[in-house]
Amino acid sequence: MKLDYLVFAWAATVLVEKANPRAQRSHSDASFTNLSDVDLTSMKDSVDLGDGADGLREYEQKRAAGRRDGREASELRALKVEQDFLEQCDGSSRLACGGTVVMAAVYGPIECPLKAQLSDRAIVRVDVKGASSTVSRSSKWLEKYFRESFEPVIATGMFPRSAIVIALQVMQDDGSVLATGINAGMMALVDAVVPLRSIVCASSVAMNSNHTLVLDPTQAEQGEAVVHATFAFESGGGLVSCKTWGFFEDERSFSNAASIAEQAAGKVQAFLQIASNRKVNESHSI
Amino acid sequence: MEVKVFERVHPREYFNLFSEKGIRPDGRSLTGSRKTAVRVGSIRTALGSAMVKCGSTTMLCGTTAKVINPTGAKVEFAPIDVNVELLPLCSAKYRPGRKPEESYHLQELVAQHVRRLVQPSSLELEFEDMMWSLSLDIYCLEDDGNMDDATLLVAMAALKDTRLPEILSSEEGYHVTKSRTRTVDFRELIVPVSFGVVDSRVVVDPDSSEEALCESKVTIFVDEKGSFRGLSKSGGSVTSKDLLSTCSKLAVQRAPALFSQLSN
Repeated sequence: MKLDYLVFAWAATVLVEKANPRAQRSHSDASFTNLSDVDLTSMKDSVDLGDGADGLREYEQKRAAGRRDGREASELRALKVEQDFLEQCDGSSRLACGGTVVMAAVYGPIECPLKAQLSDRAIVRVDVKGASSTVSRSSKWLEKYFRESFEPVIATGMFPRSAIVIALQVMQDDGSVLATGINAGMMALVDAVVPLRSIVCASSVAMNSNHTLVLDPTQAEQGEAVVHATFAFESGGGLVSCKTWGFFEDERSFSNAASIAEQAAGKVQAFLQIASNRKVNESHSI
Repeated sequence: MEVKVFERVHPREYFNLFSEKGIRPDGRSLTGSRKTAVRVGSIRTALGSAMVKCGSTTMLCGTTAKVINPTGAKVEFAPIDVNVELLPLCSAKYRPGRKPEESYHLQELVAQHVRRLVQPSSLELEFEDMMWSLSLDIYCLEDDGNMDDATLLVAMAALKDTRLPEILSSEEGYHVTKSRTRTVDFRELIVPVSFGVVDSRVVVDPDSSEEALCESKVTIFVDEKGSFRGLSKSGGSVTSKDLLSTCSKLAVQRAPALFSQLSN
């Protein structure tokens, strides 16, 4: 029990040290425990967007996106996360982003079959099960995408000849499944205390026929979008991966979309860190 | 140590010896692409076909069609199915049996690209509730890196080369004629230009040895007017905005050559 606590505390310090400078304000104080201290909506003021700032301002002005669920164009859906609820695996998480729910389980590092072993590092395997019961072609492609988003941040060099398996199950799909999957997987990796170089958070942006960019689109919004994209950013800032369906009009609309997504990814990361801290604080009190 | 042995044992150091001087082992500059050639119409049994050679990377595509009954709702994306086969003959990476992950990746890449570019109205038939549904069969004959670009080019070229038969209606039913006149129309053409990032250096059109060393891959989509239309980055290390804008500029430079190949 004591060892578990120490390992968790180490994980929490790893997180705090690698904290996004934007989020530092909210948890660099050791006494922070109160969730209401964090004002996620005001976080955007502390971000230096550089060239994207003009685009963001311009897009903020035409915020009346008239979204079905009454959200503003730059508003994320409510995030809910549950951790450590599966017994057999090393780490688990269930992340709900509005109506999109993805469950992730992490086993690792574990024994790896001889044929697949690498001599200098661990292999990362991702298994994705879609919302429907049949194995679809798209879930195979998703496995590659997820693996390429997680692998760079996992310190695989620490576990030669092992495997780290991340199993993702899409419970409900209401848009932005890719982004939610990356966030859920990251949460499960943290829960499993897999050593990570940094945290990757993802968010998606859609552009509808009115040329309005909306953040975190629902299934319906994705369906009617001209183009939608999922971006994954690292905690230090910097694009890890990006996937677009459709084509943007020009470079400017793409960089606007990337700026909006980067903001949102910062908020998601702050949320994930709060959730982790909470969990550590709760085990503190045991 | 012999050069070939050094290349095998220390591939990264071998590549760096060249890239430090601004060139690559095959003699290209860091921003140089391999010779790309597109040939159409080589497969007589298919409704349309194309072959793309990008250096040694060779992709072959054939199109077939069948008539479907869309369920009444307006079709937003053209009904095109894609099948990509990566056989053991094209590279030592692929073993016989289960389809490799790469082929699912290419299938998804091509499908979501062409479905949006082809006009669904050009596939609609004059008869009620009937339209053509196309199938692309793409085979890799040799994998020497940058299959993404070659596969997308071959798919677009094959669709451009596709000639659909006429369908006549008579009392006995529908009758497919031998004449092949109908073309598949595109909303617009958008080409991909792929880059590899090796030790923070951008290389255009990586070959298979360079791909193995890449820390990340970036693909930029460019249209016929030369504008940036999209970016796809498949994981790996973080890339800075400067690096992405460098890629964007290089892509815009490379695109016209690809468009001229496609239009021949």
